[in-house]
Amino acid sequence: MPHPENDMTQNPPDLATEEAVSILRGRHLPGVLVFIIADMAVFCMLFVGFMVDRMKDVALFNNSAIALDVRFGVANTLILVTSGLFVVLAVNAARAGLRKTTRGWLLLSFLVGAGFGVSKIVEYSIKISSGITMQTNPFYMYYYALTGAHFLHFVGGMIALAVLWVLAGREATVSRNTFNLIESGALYWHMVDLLWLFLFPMLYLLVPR
Amino acid sequence: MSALSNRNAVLVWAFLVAATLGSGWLAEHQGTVGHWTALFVMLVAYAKGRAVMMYFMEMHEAPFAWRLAFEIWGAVATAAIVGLWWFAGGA
Repeated sequence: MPHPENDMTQNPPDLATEEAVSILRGRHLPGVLVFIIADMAVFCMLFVGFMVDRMKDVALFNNSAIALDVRFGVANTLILVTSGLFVVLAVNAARAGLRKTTRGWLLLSFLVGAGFGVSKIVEYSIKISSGITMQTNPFYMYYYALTGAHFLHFVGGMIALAVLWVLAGREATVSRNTFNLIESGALYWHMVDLLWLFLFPMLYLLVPR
Repeated sequence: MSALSNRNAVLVWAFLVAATLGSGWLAEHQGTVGHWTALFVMLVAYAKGRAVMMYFMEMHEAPFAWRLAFEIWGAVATAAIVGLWWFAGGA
């Protein structure tokens, strides 16, 4: 019994063959991957900048880092990896031509991902209401700059997820072009996740507690 | 090109969740491995990052050059953080 969304004989999806997907990957994905690698390289340089400045005053950096609440970092990581899982499931559904399922996973990924934004705003609010800002010391300059830059990437990813959800809703099935956009958006979203996986331990967990 | 199956995606996610909870707990209970906790936590972060790159981003099936670029990024980022932590006296 074919799935009503995936009846290949009655209504074949536009991306029926893996070969077609592979060709599209070769044509479109390099641009996205170049952007992602370049962006990640910039973040890597910022990691080095943070660690080099940390060497100049380890005590100050450690005393500041210990004031960060690890629970926020753990919660944010769990939110991003869970949202990332839903994006993987969305890509798999899109690959199978399952439009409704794809939209469902994209929506779930967006809603779970929104939790990161809420958590980050609460964390920033607590810090700022305690008088801790970028001007407090070099550690917090890096803290706000790095997590702020990451937050802007997060906002971009959320917009991408919303746009993909709308685009997938405009078609009867998932076209090759939309699939390609979904896959590109998914790669970007995973990059947001990946950068946080390094930012969290570097900012929160290097300090002896 | 075959994708990461839904089942395997859930397994990778379970690893990421377990590693996150484990390293978060370890960082707050440094008595367990003491001085080496920071190093251990960064190596766990590398393993998590590599899992995201290879499986969620499907780099394990990407052309060699792309896979290499991501592998290099993960190794360089981890080595830079761990190496500079070490030069700072491992504190």
